[in-house]
Amino acid sequence: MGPLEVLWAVLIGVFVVVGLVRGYPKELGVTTTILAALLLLTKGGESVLRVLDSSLAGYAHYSVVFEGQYSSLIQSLFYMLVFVAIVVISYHGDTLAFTGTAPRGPVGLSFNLLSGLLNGYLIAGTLWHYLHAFDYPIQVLGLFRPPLTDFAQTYLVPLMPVTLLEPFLLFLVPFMIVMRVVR
Amino acid sequence: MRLPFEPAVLQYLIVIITALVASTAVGLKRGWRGQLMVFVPILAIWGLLGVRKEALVASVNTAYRGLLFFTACGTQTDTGSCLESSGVAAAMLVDPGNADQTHLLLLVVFVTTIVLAFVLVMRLGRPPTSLLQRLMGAVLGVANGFTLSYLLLPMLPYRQQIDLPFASAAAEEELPNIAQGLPISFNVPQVSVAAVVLVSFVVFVILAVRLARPTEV
Repeated sequence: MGPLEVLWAVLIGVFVVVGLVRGYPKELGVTTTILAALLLLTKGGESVLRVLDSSLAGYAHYSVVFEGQYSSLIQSLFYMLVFVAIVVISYHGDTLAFTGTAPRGPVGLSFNLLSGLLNGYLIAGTLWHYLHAFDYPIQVLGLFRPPLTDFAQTYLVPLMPVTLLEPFLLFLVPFMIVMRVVR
Repeated sequence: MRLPFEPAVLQYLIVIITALVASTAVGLKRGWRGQLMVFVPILAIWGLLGVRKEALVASVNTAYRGLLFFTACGTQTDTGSCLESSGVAAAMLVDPGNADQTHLLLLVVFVTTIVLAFVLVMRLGRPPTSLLQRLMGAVLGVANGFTLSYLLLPMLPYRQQIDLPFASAAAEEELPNIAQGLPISFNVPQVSVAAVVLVSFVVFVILAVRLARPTEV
């Protein structure tokens, strides 16, 4: 497998295309859901894991989630699967989609592209964050082997959305809801 | 956050680009008159801060003590003894002897004034009547942007980590919950990058929502 940033860039490229096709009002609805998902995972993810761990401990007699051989993999997969599930749901329906359509011409096109880029950054960056936070447990499955390239270490890891936006999520989620309502 | 260059470079770039973009946008939208309306108060507050910074620090500390007194002793019957026991009388938000803290206060006041001036002119100013006025505004905007950067850059603290001692002091002295929840320091590059991302995101969403056309039925 090549450098992780190539996969990251390809994933963002896919979401840019999706943004161009769907239009930014729908994409902003997805952004709202992604931010809400991030808030949910950063504030309550660990509590859910603890509940899961205590119920599993009854059967296994040790802390499977936090101390087991595959604890990093389990935690990382938990965060990523919950996040992906929420993203899939938000793309599937358009319940939170903003009303209206994108303006015609290059302005509308640019906004569609930017919204796709934004969602791509949030989704691909979040998945990468949950791999990075647990020291890339997918190497157990033979999928990726650290270390990261210098470029990724220097420029991309500090820009991961979870670390960067976490202190502001409590502001951003209501902001997106207000923006949807005022429209 | 690890960056391949000094935090100062990042701050330089952020300040210069933001000042240039904002000032040119105001120039295009409000013409040279708008530029003048922005520039005069900014220059005035810059001069005032240079001359009267000690008075500003004293006023902020007085207001801070007032707030502490209100929260610590507001419900007490014997406010005199509460004042002595709680340490409110000696509390200060900005230590006049600490150059970093004084700098931070001046920076906050100066940036707030700049933002207020820009927002007021953008909201209340009149649009220019001709293209020439608009272009003159843009040219003046570029000049103003550079001047703003020139005034702002010397005020920036070039550190990787800036301590905010009032939070730790409040926790140590068991003062009321006014500042105990605040962080005791912040990482300059991380806060700078997060601020740029956050502001760009908010501006993008506001513009996107304003530009959306009603759905045709």
